[in-house]
Amino acid sequence: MRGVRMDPEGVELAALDRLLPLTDKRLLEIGCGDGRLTRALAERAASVVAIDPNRRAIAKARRTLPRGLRGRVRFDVGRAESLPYPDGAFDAVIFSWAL
Amino acid sequence: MFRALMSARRALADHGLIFNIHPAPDRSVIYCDAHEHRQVVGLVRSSRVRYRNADTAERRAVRRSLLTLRYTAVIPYMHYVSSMRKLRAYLEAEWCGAWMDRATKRRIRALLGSRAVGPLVIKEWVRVSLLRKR
Repeated sequence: MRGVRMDPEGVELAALDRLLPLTDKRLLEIGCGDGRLTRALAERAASVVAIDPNRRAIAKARRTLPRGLRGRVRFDVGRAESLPYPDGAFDAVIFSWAL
Repeated sequence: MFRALMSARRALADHGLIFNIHPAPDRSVIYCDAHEHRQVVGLVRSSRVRYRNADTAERRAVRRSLLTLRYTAVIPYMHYVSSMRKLRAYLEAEWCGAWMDRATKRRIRALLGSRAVGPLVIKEWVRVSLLRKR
């Protein structure tokens, strides 16, 4: 949202970096919204699948994803309760304010 | 909540990790930088029932030996908002069930009417937890 800056201090990413080794990991981000955190995750991980039930937010996330990250990120519309992915497909799952 | 957690567990490889971040039940405080001082102007209130249910789902999964809790902490998370109008729109759009009381709104309006006022700052407490698939 314009006129709002969330976490410019980067405490969310600092916590992730400290607790969850992301390098070479296959990540699933649940509740990605417009992809605010997804971009930072994609810079660190092998691949990121990001899912959110909000179609408009996913459309924005796809639109604003930097070209250099497009090969490593996929955005899907969907819900945490019925994930359309094979069992064991990810090394880590991140619930972004979604659980 | 528990269903979502189990769905995520299924999607994880053996010993995979779940990182969960969401608001803690504590109230969020609104500050305003004015006249070279940071002033507390009020609270954002919300029911937070949803997030309590999420914590319950986590505990249930741990109790059933489906996940192990590796780490948990509560950390401050800041939001900077440029105006009262933006703040109201932001709470409506992004914070489920959150509101400001009249006194808080009145204090913000009074502050924003004066000169040398910085952005409105919401300090929210968020809970992070790390769980491992068993």
